[in-house]
Amino acid sequence: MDAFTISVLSNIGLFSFLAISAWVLLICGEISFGQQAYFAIGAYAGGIATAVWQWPFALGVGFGVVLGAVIGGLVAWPTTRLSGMHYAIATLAFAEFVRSCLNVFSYQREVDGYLTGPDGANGFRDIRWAYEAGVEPLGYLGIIAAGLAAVIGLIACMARGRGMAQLRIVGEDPILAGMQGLNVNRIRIAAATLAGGIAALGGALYAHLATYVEPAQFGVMIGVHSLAYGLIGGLGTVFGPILGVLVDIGLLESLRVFSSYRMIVFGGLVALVLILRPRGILDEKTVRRIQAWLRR
Amino acid sequence: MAAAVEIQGLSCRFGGVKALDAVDIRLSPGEVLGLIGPNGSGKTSLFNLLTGHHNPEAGAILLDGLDLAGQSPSQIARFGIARTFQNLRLLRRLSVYENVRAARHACAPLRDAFWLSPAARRQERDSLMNLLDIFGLSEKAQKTPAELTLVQMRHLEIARLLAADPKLVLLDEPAAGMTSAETQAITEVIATHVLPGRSAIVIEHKMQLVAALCPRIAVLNAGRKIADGPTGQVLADSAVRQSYFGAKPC
Ligand SMILES: Nc1ncnc2c1ncn2[C@@H]1O[C@H](COP(=O)(O)OP(=O)(O)O)[C@@H](O)[C@H]1O
Ligand SMILES: [Mg+2]
Repeated sequence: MDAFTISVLSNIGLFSFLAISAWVLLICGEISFGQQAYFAIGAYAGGIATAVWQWPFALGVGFGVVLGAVIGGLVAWPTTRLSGMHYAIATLAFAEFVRSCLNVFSYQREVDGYLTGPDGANGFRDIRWAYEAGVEPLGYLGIIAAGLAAVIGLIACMARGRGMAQLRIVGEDPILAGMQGLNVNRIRIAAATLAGGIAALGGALYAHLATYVEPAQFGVMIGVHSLAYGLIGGLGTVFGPILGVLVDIGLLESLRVFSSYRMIVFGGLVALVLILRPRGILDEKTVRRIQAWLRR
Repeated sequence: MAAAVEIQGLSCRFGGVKALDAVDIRLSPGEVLGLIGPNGSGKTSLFNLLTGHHNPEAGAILLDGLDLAGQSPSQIARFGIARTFQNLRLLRRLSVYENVRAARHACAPLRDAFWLSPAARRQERDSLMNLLDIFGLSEKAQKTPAELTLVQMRHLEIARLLAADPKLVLLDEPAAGMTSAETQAITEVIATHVLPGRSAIVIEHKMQLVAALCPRIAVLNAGRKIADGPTGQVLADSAVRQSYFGAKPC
């Protein structure tokens, strides 16, 4: 595989975490423009763990995931009372709050004679684990793929268990969900925890690929795109948001023909899909049909 | 397992409208009460209070002696109250099967969210498909509710209610929009599958169903209970005929 392909695939993989993260909340009936906050938290926490504290890679990534999940759950606590537009704005505000915090967050320690760690708006350099461990881009793509497979596996387990059904019931009719004995608040907090952890996993993996992160990378547009991926790809299956990423990054960003019109084409595409298929390309009904067809 | 219900002085208002005004109703375990009254008399509101969907302005609801005041709808559901909806409340993006299964997720341990053993899945599947079968819906299990007829949708709501195995069932106009033959069919299904071993309150305008299922009825008018007693006796009551049928006392 050539370097370009590897980098495009890595990007697709990394954005998929964000897209799945926003998708989990969409399933639960919540529109979040702010999942990039958890991506940033994962990136910073994972980076600090391996670069500053010199933790092993897996442990560092795990730390980022746990922190993203815990903060996701904590933020959901007060916001479960909000709905629709109010919730969406709260997520946006929180993401910008996180970014402002990172702009002033400095935590540098001397490692092997060099100052390492986040330095406010100047960013966080030398997250060098992949370089030091001698992991090539192709190998790192394998790590990203493994992480994504783990997330898809987790969602698949939840689809076989009760988790996805609970999320979908709460997402479709929270009042009915309550009358069916579901604890709606707890399910919403669980969804936000899961979504935070998934985005943070992507962020931690991103930081170790990029080796450099800065607050400006985690802007609102990332969040808007992450949300749009699930909406166009479809809410019926976890492959929906990944399809959305594939369309945007795989097609629009990577093909020269589109490159200068990418945002226009993407915006038009989102509008078109939402008009024609309000629940995305792979919506619930389509997915059920595909499943029935596969079972035959 | 059937529950005893005690409703004491229950009132609720929406703005200026007094939807319920000091209503008292007692149900002994296993009793089936028909609830009738003109439109807007507060029948559905009573169900909304019983399920915790709305909070009463005054009064108390006791389920087997347990005060439901301040309990959330989900806790009340777990205590064993389940209902159907006059206007139907189905999950239209979920399959018929998942609609019935929706009643089975309460009380499940966290682990179940991520993992159900194949045996547990099969057991759940068998029991829910049996349930759908009773209502003639097993063929439609993978369809969406939108692909059902109105009658099938009403059946599906009752199937979902049964899936929760409640102690007290609240049926809100289960035969609304049905022909006489369809009403007869649902009456039989309710009699054989829903009522045995449960307490029930049945709201219905169709006397065919009420007379067949409810030995006792209560009548609401403008939020007040104006009659309560053996069905034949209440229906013969002149005040009831006046308010409900608009008929002159005879
Ligand atoms: N959620 C609500 N908001 C405002 N008014 C309501 C609401 N629910 C019921 N009402 C009013 O309360 C009264 C009783 O309604 P309802 O209980 O639905 O009557 P019924 O089921 O006997 O036809 C009506 O006047 C109705 O307009
Ligand atoms: Mg009503």
